[in-house]
Amino acid sequence: MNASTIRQGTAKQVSVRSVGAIVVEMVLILVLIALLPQTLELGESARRFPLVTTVVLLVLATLDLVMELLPAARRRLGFLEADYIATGTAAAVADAEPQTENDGGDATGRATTHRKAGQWGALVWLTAAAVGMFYLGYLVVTPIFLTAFFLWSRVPLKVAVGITITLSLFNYLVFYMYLGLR
Amino acid sequence: MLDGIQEALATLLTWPNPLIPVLGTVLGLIVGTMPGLGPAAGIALIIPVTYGWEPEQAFLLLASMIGGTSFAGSITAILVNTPGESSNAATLLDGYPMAKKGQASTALAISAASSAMGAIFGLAVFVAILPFSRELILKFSYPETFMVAVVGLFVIALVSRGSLVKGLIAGGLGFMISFIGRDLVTGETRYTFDSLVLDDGVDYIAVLIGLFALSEGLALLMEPDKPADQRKLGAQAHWRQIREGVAFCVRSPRIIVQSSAIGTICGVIPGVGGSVSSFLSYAAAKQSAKDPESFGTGDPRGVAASEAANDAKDGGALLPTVAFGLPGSATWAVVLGAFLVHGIAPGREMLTEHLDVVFLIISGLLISNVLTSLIGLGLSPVLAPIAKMPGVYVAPVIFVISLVGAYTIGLRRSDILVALIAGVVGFVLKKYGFGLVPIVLGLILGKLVEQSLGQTMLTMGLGSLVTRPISLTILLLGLAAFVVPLLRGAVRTRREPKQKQGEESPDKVKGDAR
Repeated sequence: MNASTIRQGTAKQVSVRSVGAIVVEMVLILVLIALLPQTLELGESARRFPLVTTVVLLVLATLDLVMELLPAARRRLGFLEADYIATGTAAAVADAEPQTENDGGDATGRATTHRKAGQWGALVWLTAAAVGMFYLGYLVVTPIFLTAFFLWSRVPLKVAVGITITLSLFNYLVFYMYLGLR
Repeated sequence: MLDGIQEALATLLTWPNPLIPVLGTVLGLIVGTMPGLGPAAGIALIIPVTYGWEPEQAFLLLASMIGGTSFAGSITAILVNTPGESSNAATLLDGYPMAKKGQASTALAISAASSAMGAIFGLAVFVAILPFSRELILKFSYPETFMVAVVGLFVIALVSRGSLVKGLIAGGLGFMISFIGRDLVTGETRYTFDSLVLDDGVDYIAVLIGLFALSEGLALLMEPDKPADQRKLGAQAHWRQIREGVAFCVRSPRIIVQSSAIGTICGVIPGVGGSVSSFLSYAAAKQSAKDPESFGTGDPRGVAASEAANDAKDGGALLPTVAFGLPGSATWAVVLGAFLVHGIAPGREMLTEHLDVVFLIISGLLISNVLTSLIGLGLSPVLAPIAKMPGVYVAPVIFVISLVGAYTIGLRRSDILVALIAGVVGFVLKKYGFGLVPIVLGLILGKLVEQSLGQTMLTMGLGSLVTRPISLTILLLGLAAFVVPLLRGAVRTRREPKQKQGEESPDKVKGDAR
């Protein structure tokens, strides 16, 4: 990792982040608005803190959304965006001698043969594991999930079998036998 | 104090407890070497396994793991050009160039020795300050508890990853999650949507596991595999270089002490985290050197500076965590959750009835830092390949262990779904600039803040928040810590209206979970 890589990655990350950040803020605002009626129905003591927190969150989320949407607002309120600690650490990184990307020498470039999950793929696999465990239990789902995932990812057979057996045994010995999880 | 030390020693020497630091150190080394699994995620996964243990044993294990993960991260930084966690990123700046020059074992030895020395320094400072902070804590009542929690949350939002506004939003989200379930005073249910499962609230360990472990697993799956350069260690040169590395640290007390002091101070400030302390220490060592241009080319001082600070911070971070319930970093935020799971509340209770636990944690950190240096140096050629493991191998393992761990908490299948949701939400929030530590803190402190405010209003009135001297002092210090940087930033923004905006902070080291 060197300073130029960090800066290049930074520019790309900003543009990708903006749209996603806007969506996140809007979802957050909608959820908070949806929770307001329920909050107002609570008794006085029970609603005091949640109501204050909800209102403050709405203000902050709206402020953040405005800063994401309007460059002028972002400029004026830019000091709120400053990552106070990271600014200092970034300076330390930038001052350091840059590392070279290509080492030469012993660098072992290895072609990737695995299938990459991608954003949605990763979420689907995680959800499948969780839902599987919810309905069928962890002892059954662990070897099935790992086998299915490794087959799909084209992981070498030895590695797949090794990890599947090891983790299934680990679950059985630690969680089932030692902790008595039934 | 002496009673606490004696009890801790007695516990430590009772069989099989002497084995626990060894187990924790080895676990920490393995966890710290695995890509994507930082100490926070690793500890979150181990907590469910310690449910049946005595609290003292559990904390001895967790503290030992912290020591182990820290050095393990430097092994991968030096040998494989990949920091095990964000706090080891500064080590990479000079450690990897040293490895390229054929001095890998020297770099590892410097890392090991400086880590151990830094840890001892940080813990010594903590033990020295403990009696004074204990006296202070005993004077705390409801207004002080409320003020520390709220101000601490604001300060953590200020220094955590991402912008201030996002930090505050994250803290607020943590509060909102803590409100789910029954109100402590009236028993009224809040945000349960008529679900019996949510009546008891959301288990924070399941949330911790999701936020730290599952979100990292998701990130791992999405990252491309990097061809990693591994420097092979020749057996002949290995031990000679180790002796040279240790000797370097012994000959460089100034760097060690300076870096340890920086690390300890950073650790004391809640939420600052390891990456800040190691980078600040690195920058300080470079600026104070007569030949700063050598830093970044394989200067052993760079490795010593970052690693000493990285381990010293744990001693410093222990103080706000046990005394005030404010974690010094993401790792200590998870340990804080473990305190509550084992029925130990930080603050007054911890420093009076459970002082032996505090000294056991100190023992665990001390022993593991020494053991890590010894075991880690010997095992480094074996551990290094683990860091090369592609994410596609590691991520499903993280998924399985995390989900099972979440189920272990209360044997409720709903906790699996809680962990899943927390994992997805944590991944999304982290991706778009929200820190995870404020969420955890809001979640853990939410009920405490609400309860202490209610008790303050009932017993002393709201005015006591500003009339009691300690409470007022905390408020003023918090305001100063919060408002001064904002004002400075606002003034700077006015003076430079055309400053380029939209440049995101480049502090995007893999596994950063401050």
